[in-house]
Amino acid sequence: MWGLTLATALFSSEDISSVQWQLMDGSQLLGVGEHQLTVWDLDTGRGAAAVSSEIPCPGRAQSALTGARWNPHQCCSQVAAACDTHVRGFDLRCGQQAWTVENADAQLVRDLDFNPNKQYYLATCGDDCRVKFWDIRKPTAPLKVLVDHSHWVWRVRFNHFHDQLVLTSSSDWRVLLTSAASLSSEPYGHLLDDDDDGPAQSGAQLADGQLACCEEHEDSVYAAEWSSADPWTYASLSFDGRLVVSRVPRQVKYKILL
Amino acid sequence: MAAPGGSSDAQRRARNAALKDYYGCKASSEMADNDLYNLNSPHFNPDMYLHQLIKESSLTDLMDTEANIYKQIQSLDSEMQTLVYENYNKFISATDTIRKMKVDFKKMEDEMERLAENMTHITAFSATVSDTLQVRRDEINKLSNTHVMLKKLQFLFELPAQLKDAIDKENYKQAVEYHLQSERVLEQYGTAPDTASLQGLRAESAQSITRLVAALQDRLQDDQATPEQIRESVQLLLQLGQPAEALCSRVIAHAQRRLAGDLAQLTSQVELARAAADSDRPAELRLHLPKDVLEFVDVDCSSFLSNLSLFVTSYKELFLEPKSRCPEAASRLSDCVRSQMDSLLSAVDSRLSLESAAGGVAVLARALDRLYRRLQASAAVLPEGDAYVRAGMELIGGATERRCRQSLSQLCAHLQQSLSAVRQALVVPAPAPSSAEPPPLAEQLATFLGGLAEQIRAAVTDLKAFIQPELSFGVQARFRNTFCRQHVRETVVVGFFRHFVETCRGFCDAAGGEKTSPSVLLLLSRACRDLDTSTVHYLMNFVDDLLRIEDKSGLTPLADINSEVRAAGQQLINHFVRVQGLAVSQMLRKSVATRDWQHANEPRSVRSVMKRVVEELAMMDAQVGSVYEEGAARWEQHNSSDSSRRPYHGPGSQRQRHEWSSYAPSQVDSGLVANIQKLFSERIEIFAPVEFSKVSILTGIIKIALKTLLECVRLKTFSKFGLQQIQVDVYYLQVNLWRFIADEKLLHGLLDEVLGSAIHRCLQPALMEFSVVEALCDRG
Repeated sequence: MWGLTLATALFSSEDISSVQWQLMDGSQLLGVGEHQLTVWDLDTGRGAAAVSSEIPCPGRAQSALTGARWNPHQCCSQVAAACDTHVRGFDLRCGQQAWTVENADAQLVRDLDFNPNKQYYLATCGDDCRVKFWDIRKPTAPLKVLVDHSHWVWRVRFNHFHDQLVLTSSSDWRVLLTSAASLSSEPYGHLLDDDDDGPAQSGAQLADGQLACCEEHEDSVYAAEWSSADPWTYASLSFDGRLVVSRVPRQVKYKILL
Repeated sequence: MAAPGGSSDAQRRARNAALKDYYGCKASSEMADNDLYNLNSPHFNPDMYLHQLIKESSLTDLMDTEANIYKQIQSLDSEMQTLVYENYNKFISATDTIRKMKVDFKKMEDEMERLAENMTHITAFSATVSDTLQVRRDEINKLSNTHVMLKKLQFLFELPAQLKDAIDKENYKQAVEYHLQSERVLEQYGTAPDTASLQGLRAESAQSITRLVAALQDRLQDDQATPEQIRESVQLLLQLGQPAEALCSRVIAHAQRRLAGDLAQLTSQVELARAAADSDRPAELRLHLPKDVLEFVDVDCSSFLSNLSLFVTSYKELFLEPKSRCPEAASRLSDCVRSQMDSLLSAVDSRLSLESAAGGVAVLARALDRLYRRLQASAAVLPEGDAYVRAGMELIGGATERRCRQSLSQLCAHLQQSLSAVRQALVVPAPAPSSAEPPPLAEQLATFLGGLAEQIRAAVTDLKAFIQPELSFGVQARFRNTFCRQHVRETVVVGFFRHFVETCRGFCDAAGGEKTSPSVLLLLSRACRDLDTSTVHYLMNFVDDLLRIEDKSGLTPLADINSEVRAAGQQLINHFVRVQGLAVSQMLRKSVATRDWQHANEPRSVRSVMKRVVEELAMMDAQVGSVYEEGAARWEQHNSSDSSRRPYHGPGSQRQRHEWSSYAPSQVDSGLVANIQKLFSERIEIFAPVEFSKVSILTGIIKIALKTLLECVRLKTFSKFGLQQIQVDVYYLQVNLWRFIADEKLLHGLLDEVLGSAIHRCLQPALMEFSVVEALCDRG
């Protein structure tokens, strides 16, 4: 066992519901408060942390922030926050709102995730039981809507390596693995030039749709995450404390790899 | 020994034939034998007869026979004598007559001889007479010939003057007759050497004829000339040997000019109608009211068609009968007729397309009928007339189809109207919700459905005017078929149901659905259900009966419409449940989210928001109940009203409560209990489709609301008093919600989970005494 020593203490003017490391080099930390986002600069050498910026999120007093994510593109200069029924993107360099997806969810946006390989693509989920994919350059209409869950969707995650694999967890006790191949960064359909073995290949290609449904949980599943080590493993955690680690089905894996 | 069947038959037949032959001979010889013994027969043989008689008869018979024969002989003798005497007398008188004749003949012979002598005398005399007259007769012949020639010459000399006279008096026919006569005469003398006077004559008459031709040509150019005048002129010109081809084109041109006038009249009517339809136009342009479509067809089209027919008839007489005078005459005529008919039909088409839905169907039907009759009547006259009848039929088909579409859009507009009426009627009482007042929903539903059915019936009955038996085009099987099947049934009726379904779906869409009042959703869902169960069936049968549609192949089957309507109804009721569920959820969510549960005071009463939730649900219950039936609930568990409390403080719940309080300090254990509990409960689909019953609908709403409560509670952290407040609220809900719900276990499961989660999220999980909870709820 290692002895853990306190490296630094973070201070904020609000209760922090979650924090996230900056995705590039871990030199920054993003904290989600009730009505504002706080970014700290970490100085690991000196073991000190300083508030880099505090970004207040516009909105009604009752509506708290439900989540936020670093944008993995553009050197992590952007963060996006789920606020009430909207998603707001902030540019950290100026601390201003850069873009917004109004009414991304009819009730409440619970979570969002950036496509790790396509820089403008974003997925949101929430209380209208739907998972929606957006292009933040054109936030008026979703690119795709999944309506597979029968209750609120709490978490949506893209696979870091194969971004057609989308993981969602919901309070209908299910975790769903869905393919969004049509929106993925990998070639889809007949984009490949049609060789002689074209038909055989297209038959083997992954189509859009539900790939796997994990029904092991017996309560609402509030968290689901891909393994950072293995692209084919994911875990989900439900209210009753049950953690389920699952694998992507073998034939799906082969379809993606071959 | 038996011969084979076939050959034995043949043999027998041969034998029979031989026997028949033999007996036939025998029979005739027997007949001859009988003759020999017959007294009156020519072959009678007295010896044989006597011999036989002696041989066969007794003595008395013989005596009798002898007496008999003797008597006969005597009578025959006396007869013979009388005959001989009579004949003798006749012979004598004949001899006398012959003698007298001989004398007479001699006298006659003498007279004949004298007659012959006289005749020879007469012949001799007549020959002498004719010889004497011969000379005179020749002279007379010569004189009469001269006279005839002189007459002709006189005519020729008089000709120029007469021609001029006739032309001046516009008596062209007379002039042409004169000219033709003179032509003949001149031809007769054509071979003779031309004298100066004859040449002069020719020149003069030619001059007159040129004038005549020019006059006639002028008349052809004249637009005011009547068809009869034209016809006469052309006939005369043809007689004068003018080229038929040029005349053809002139006549056609003249007819086109005349018909252009009629056509202009038609198009001006179309323009007027368009102006009238365009109410934006300034008033002075609309001073002239257009004729209605019936009058338009009756007067304008008819006059055009009759003029055209008249022209075609005279043209045919002039150029095509009995043989074509010009090779292109027929094709020119048909070209001209085609272009004229095309412009007529297009004018009629544009006029018909301007006919608005407001005009009666009957008028339009009669107008189309007139048009069709006129076209049929002129079809006999016009070249390729059948094609125009067909084109007219197409026109009629188009007009009726347009009409059907109009009535469909009328129906749709009416649907919109009645929907907004329903919406208004339902919105008005909303600000003052008093449960004493009877719910207007059922009433609105009845009027809405009744209006719908009535409109469809009226529309179809209206459209039936197009297939009345007295309409000439209505009886055509092909027209009738397409009209009834494709247009009325598919376009209007089925189209309307589709539109209705579409409209209903529109209400469920996220975009438009939010604004729609839930009661409208409820009403529409019920309307869909009623349509599905009876109205669609009734209306489709009504239509099929009215239009006598028997063969239903290729048509949209009733079941399809029914299932579409049913699906729309299901969608609507699901949406209703969702909207209402979310409304209640919103209240619960806010009530949980905005409260500081960690610093709550000890609960003194049920929170008011719970009471509001229960009230809201009771209102929904009443609303749904006014439209939907109760549905199958599990009532058998609790028949009396106070049993509603029993499940909660029954042995099972009691124990559970004890478990909670005893295990409360240990989080792990309570989690274990909850898990074990869940092992035996079924997964609950929150936004599951509901049935068309009050209980199922309410269950759906409550499920959504409680699940929201559960999730919201899980996001909070509770102090001891916070948890106790939740306990009170949950109990209150339990006591008040059971009467709305189908399966009480479901309610208990969800509420237990809410409380369980609150215990999970509590820092000092300690529940209240049950009696206190009960007292607090009773006070509320």
